[in-house]
Amino acid sequence: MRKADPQPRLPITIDRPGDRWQCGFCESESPCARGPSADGTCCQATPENPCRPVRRWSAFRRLLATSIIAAGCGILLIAFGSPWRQDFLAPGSLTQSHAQILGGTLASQRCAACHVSAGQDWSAWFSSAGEHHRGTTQDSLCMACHHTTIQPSRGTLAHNLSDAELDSLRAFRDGLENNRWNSTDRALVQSVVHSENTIACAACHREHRGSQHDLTALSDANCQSCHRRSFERFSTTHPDWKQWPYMGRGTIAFNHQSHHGYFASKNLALDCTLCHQQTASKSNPVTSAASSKIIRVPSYESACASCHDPTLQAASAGGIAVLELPTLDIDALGDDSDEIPGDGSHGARWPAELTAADAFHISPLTAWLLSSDPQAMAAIATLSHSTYRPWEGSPTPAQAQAIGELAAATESLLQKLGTPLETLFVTSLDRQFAADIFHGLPPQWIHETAEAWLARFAVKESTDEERFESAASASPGASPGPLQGWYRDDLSLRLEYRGYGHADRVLIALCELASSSALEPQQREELRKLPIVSSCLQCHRKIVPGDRSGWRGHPPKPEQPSFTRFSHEPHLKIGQLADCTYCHRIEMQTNSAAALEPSDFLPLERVSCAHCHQPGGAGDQCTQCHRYHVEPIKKSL
Amino acid sequence: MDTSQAVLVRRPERWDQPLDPTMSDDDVRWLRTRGPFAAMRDDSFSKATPLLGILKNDCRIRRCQRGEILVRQGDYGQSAFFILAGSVRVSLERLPEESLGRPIPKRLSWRQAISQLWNRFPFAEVRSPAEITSHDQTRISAIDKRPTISLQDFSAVFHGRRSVGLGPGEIFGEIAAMYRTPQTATVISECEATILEIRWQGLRLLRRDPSFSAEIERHYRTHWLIPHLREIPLLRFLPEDVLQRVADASVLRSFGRMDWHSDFQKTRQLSANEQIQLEPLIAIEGNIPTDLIILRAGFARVSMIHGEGHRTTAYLGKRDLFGFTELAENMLRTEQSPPIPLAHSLRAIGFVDTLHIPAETFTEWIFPYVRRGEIRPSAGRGRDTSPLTEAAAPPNPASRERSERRVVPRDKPGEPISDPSTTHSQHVSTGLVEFLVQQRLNNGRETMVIDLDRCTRCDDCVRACATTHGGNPRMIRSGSTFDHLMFAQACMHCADPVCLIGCPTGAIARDEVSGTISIHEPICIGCGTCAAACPYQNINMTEVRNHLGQPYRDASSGLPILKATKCDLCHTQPSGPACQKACPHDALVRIDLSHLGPLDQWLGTRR
Amino acid sequence: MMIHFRNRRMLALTLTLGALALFAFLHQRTENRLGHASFLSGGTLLACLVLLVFIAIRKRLVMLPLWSVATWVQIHIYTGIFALVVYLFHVPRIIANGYFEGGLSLLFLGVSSSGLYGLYVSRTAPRKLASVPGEYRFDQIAWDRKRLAQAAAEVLQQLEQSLAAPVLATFYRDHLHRYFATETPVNFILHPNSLRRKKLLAAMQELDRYFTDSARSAAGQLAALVRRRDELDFHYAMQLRLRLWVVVHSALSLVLLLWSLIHTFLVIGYL
Repeated sequence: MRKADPQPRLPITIDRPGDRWQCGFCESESPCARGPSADGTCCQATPENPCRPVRRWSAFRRLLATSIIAAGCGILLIAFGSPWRQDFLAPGSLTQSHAQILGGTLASQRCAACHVSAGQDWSAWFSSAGEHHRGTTQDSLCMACHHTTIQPSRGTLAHNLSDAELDSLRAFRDGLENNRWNSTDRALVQSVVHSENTIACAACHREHRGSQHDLTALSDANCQSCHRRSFERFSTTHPDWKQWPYMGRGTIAFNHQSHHGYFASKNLALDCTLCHQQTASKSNPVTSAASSKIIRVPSYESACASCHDPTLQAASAGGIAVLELPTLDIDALGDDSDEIPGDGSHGARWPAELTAADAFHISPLTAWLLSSDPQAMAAIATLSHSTYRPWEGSPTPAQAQAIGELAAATESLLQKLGTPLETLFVTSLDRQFAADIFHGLPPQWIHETAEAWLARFAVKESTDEERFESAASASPGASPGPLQGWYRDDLSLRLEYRGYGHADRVLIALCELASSSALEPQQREELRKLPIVSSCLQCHRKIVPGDRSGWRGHPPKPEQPSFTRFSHEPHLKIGQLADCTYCHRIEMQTNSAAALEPSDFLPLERVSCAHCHQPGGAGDQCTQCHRYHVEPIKKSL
Repeated sequence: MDTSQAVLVRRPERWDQPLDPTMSDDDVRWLRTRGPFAAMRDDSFSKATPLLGILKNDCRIRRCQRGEILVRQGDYGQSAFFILAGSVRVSLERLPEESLGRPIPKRLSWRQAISQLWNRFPFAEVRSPAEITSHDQTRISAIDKRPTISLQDFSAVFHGRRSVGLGPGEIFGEIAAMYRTPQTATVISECEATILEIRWQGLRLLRRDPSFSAEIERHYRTHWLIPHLREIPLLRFLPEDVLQRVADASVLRSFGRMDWHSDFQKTRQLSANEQIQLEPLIAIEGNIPTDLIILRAGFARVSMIHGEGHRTTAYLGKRDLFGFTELAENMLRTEQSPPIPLAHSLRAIGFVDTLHIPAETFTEWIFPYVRRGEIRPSAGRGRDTSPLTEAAAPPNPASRERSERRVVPRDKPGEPISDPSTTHSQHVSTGLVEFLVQQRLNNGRETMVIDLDRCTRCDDCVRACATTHGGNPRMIRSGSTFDHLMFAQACMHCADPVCLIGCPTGAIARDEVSGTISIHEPICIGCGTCAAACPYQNINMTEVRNHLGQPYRDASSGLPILKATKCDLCHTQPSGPACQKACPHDALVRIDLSHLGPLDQWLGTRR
Repeated sequence: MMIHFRNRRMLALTLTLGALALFAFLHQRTENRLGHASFLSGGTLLACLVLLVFIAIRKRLVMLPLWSVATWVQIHIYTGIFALVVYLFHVPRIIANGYFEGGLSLLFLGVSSSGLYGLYVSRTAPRKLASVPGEYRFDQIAWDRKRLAQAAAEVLQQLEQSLAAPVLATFYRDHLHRYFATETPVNFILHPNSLRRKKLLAAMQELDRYFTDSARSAAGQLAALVRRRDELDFHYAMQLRLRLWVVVHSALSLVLLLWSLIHTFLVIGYL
């Protein structure tokens, strides 16, 4: 413990600590009572005793502080007054892409590319936006460049979708088959900082964070700021996918299970890649196998043709009778019948080859060709529904009249063949079908066929012997040959078509016709039973007449915007995942009847993804698999 | 140099400085025939101090005019007044301070306070003319070359106020002179009166006369003892008749010298041991207590024998007790256990006035009325480590609280019983206690203490003091230092304000409520008595100027007008003491050193 | 109302940490909700800055009952610590990109570091000063230096003439005169040490055998003066630090306030 010596007490002297100068204590021991004045002069100073006041600390402090403050203000003034003001004020570099684009602009205009106020005068900050920029927002400035990838009108909408579109998406998902989502799952939108329709670009994309900053980087919490149901971890609380990505049936009724069984019976493995992976094409052998694309719905040629072409060929070998003149019992009409058109000679207007006492039958397509003639249609109806058996007696007068009318209509049809189809059909749908069916036919050939057949109509009455002779002199070999295309059977007066196989245009038109209302239901049914048509319709089940896109294989509702992006490519590089069945497992059904129905896959299990998509592993960020800008986005600039 | 040969000088004598050098022998002889002096016998007095000598040297005849203010209520006096002729009026009510020439200064408003920042003059100590001389209700004049202060309008002041007159042969002011207590009433001369002023040195000598002494004591016992006893917290539950018995039994005693401050500069140079040896003993350690000792004025040192010397453990001030714990223990002990002796010695620092209450009186009439919970165990049986703050038993902790706005009612009853002799302070070391006593810092009630371990020497305190006082601080940030504590030079607003003694006009006075001692400049005549009396040299006489820097000078003599200046605790500022407020590091505090409690508590927070 | 320093520190730290926790929570929440958390942190910083600058006003208004300056200093310290942590939220990369904002960051860091240094020196220097004898008022140190130099000259003047006198006089002329006459050297101010004093005293001790009694006593007095001068130098060095940091801190803080206001305007305008 230190005890200081008792110091002599000093009398309190004049001491003004607020002054800037104090006495210099020149020669005297103590200062005078007056002290130096405020500007530092001493009243006691004489030439002999120059007393120089000393600057106090407070004066020095004021000097130092003033100089620091002056320096700080000076820098500001210089910077604001100089032409490099914008560079001085710019808060950090832009991302590389933006910086590069804006690098060429003047510094004074660079900021105005994105900031509305940058193009305005200072005074505008204190009033509403200037006239020139009324209504301009930063979003519109972003859209000035990005309108090519995002529609400006959609830019500020949540997911770039309107509320109605979002609702319809939600409804679609809810209405999917086997949708096991609970009602509580439906509402995904929660209260947010931003309203749904005015989400500024800058809400997520924040610039001025350095040239290497990723503008699309967002945390899971950011994504879930709008979604009412928030997910903590991909592996734990992310909802299961249920229907995704299968989403129900496509347009092609493909049965994986039956194919699986078929291959197994042939002791072949059902390799998914056989169909679903496009390997290097012959035209481009440079493409390596690793870059082969996985396609969900492969083309017929690549996946199905190798097995199904022979089947189709066989099915179409028989050909389809497009135009088959009906067999009528003209003789039953008798001599005194006035119903026979023509010049009244017995049997003058009906070819002898088609005269028989068979039961009435007219091919569906022939009936279709006659459909513009109401008399013919009535006659066909009469004859089709009647119980007339030629060998059982005479036809009724109605039936006889129908026979006569039908014969006359057939003749007139032949006369019309070779003329533009407008003369044949009334409705445009029928004309479209006809155009598709007959497109391969050369007009001259049709004309010749019509003439040759019409000539038969003018043959005089002949004896049975003459009939046999004429039949013998008819063109031989009327059955279709090995080649596809049109065939003419002069013996039975038939036009046949033998299909080219898959995607034959005529067959497409015929199948559509078989599904349209242009034919009577019974005729439709009959047409469908034809082998080739039934073969087509076995896979193409959802044909909409007039809509060719229904023939194409694609997932349901392809136009639905997808919030998810998934690429098989990086996954295939992992050995274990090269086996498609790791994720895609066919739902094997034991019921054999149901087995013939197109089968689903078992729902994709999230756990198989979560094995690798952990925070420390492959990553489980929302943005890894989900996209925000849901409109189809082209690759960025 | 031959050190055996002495230098012959004249020894300084008692009466080298008579109160009135112009006192003639005729006056003395005339006095000898008046009043109580006529009845006095010369052989009551010693040869060195004969009665005539006392009358000649320690007395002064004052001729007063009507309205002259003789004593003011609350002032400290050093003289008794004996009325020879004429009459005086004693006001039984408290007269407003304005009428005595010292209006209570109004607290500044916030706007006025802030304007001090820019209303600064480039000169020190600027005053307006109104602050130089008082023109209101009092006037200052010189009578018999003696500055006096008189009322302008006597009857207006006393109109409607209760008062009593005193005539020839009556004496007043003797209690204040003898016992260093404030005057209890204002006395104003009613007409042209002749009054004998007896200074306290003479008064003490005159008390050798038995009848005079008995008269004085009777006067004291009749009028003052009971009120003084009432102020002591220990006796607050005593009924009237019991209190009278106690009063009758108690003995008044005095120790030491009242003019301690005159040779304080010499005694403080001595070592602690030497100082202790010089101090008169009041009670001795080891003796069986025979009295309960209550201090009525002054300070006493409490010490214990430690090795070969004495170790100071505490000091006692006004209304403190000594021996209470031992007496109480002795009361409560069983017959088998021996009586407990005093654990400490008591010595007078400077001067001490005590009240000795015999042990029998204590046993019979006092102890039954003491709360058991307020009795602490004796320190004689081992060290009592309970801190001082705990020893301060309830009932009125509010009076102990030191708020930022320092308003400490002093001289008021209700303070808790404290027997500091039996308590032990945690943070105040013996060395510090002795230092405080040695430097007489225990006198201070608002001592400026600076903790040097936290003081960054920024001088913000000095600047704050200057800002609130027109640019000139009333303090110096330097002073005597002990360990890491500096006791700076600023008025301590002492418990025993010796500066008040002798002010001819009452310009320097203690505020009754706050205890602040302030100087009322309009009636300060610049005599310098207070500055000379202050043992710590905390009062400065300054030249005053007007706003142009011109010094004021006396119209008649041409001498510069001086005013006494000192720390006034910023009692007109809204903030209170600006120095304490302005310290950024809790290093500076205005603290009451008359008890060790506040200092102990303050040191305890310094971690 | 004397609260123990330790308790006060605990209370203040607890409050500060609590405020920081609340702020961190709000910051994270705003970030998650795609809000501009930098507005939250920036606004908080600006409010803290204004509060911190208010202490300068309080220091000038000593005459008003607005709590003691010591209380304000405690508020200032803990608000400053709070602001420093909030700054780290606001500018995670410590120094911002861009010239203006980088300068603003440097200003803030300068103010913070000077403040932290000030806290450190205010708590350590007084103890050092108290352990060195003597109390010197800063403004009067120049005069004290002169007084010591005069005292040393006087000692030499009063030296009795003897054979030893020139030895001491020479030593005084060569070393001591310059020692007393010059101001405190800069490297001593930066790093106070006792080397100078010890060297001189050792040199004087070496001369002791050449001295007579009177010269020895004069040398003793000079040695005492050397020690006093060294103590004075130490006081000067310490007190200069204790004063200088305040100037730097307060001046930089005003510049910081100005730049911050400009930054606020820009941010709001360019948002």
